[in-house]
Amino acid sequence: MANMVELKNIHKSFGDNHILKGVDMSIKKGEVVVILGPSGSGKTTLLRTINFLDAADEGSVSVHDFTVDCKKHSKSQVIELRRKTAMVFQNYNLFQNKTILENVMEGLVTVKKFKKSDAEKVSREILAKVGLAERCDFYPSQLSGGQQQRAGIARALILDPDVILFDEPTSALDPELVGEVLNTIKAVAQTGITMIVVTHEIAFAKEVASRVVFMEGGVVVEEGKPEEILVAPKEPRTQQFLRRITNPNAAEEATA
Amino acid sequence: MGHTYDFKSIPGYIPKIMKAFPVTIEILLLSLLFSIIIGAIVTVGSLSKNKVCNAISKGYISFMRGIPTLVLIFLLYLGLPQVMNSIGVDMSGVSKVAYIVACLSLSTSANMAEMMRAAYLAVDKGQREAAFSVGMKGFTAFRRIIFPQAFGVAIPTLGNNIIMLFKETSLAFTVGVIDLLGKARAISSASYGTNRLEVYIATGIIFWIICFVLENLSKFIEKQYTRGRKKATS
Repeated sequence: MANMVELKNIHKSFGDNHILKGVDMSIKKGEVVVILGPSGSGKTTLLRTINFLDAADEGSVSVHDFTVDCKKHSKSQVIELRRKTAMVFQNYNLFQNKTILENVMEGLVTVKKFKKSDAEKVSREILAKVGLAERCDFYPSQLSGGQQQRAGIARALILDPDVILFDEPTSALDPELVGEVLNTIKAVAQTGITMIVVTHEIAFAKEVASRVVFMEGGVVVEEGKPEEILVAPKEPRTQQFLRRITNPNAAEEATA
Repeated sequence: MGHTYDFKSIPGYIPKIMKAFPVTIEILLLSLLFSIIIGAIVTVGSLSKNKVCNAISKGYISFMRGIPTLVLIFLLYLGLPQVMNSIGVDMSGVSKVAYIVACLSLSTSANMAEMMRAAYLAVDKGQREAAFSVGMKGFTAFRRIIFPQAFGVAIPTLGNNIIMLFKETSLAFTVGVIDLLGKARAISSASYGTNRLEVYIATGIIFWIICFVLENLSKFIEKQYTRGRKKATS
């Protein structure tokens, strides 16, 4: 098996708005790929085309040697592809009508057809790992954003997916809660699971990523090891973006 | 000619009128059932991307909400048998209650459809995406995630619709069904209308008490159902 995730020539438009203009990407098993880029660059859309929450108009998506053509795909193909992936959302998107424990169990019971008692056992274990052992019977609305997001990570992890997609997992959090969630994601990364992370956390990218991809205007501008891209980027657009994000004042001076 | 009102006799009429309660309940429950079924079908149409389905559903809702229930009753009860007769179908075997149930189901189904559509749209689309992301099929996501949340949103409106439907069951008397109001009229007529004020006050009290119970029941159920959770609208 060559690649865990392979994207070929992904194009996506919303109406007249051409968001993705031919993105190719190959991700090996165990890689942690961090996608950076200014807002509107298409990074979240790219992530969502991988599990067909937004179906791309053109191109193909492969996960663990299962390939789906974006132009002509069946519902069952999409479901099979989704069952190889899991996603962590910016707004957590925990099931509001279920407790934290039920949120984590849901996929095991409905999709993997676990017995309820087995599902509950492993769900409690994984919730303990993300530090939510005491919160199993709470509803999402009763938890802080950081706790909700850790539950979201547990919900994704328990499915034992081939790849986990993180869509700006810390963007909706209060600043003091970002750390706990990043630490949880770091711990997940160390387990060797394949991950694709869209984020604005440069320090996190430096520490965790095995590869950084910089996107702008619907294409991949530059990619490489974090120490290359984040420290000595070759492309002027990457340099500009990093300057702006690491030192907002400098950017203002530059434009003034 | 002076009238003498005997307000002390009002409580005595209540059990007499309540003898017709099973008829009212029958009309209420059957109309409720059918209006929800029709409403659900119309909701599917109004949410569908198919333009024809969409237009038909929206037109249906607009028509049914615009036509007074009493007009609908007269149309169906008096008009339909005539039309059917002309094409050789005899509708004289259809009971009056059936006509009333049909009319109330049709007119209430429009409100039910609007309620369901609003409740469905109130559930954050992230909920469906999350369900898909763990690998659920569309129907499973609806059954386990979307519907339970939409239901919570719909409870107050559903309670309201049931109360309105309950009050509209009183229109059954216009075609001669002996429901609560029909019974009241019968009691009043039997004494040549001398006690009509007392009888109708008793009827009003019955309707008010039942509506009061329904209203509080709906509030209680909503509270129980959504306990601990945030409303789906965020």
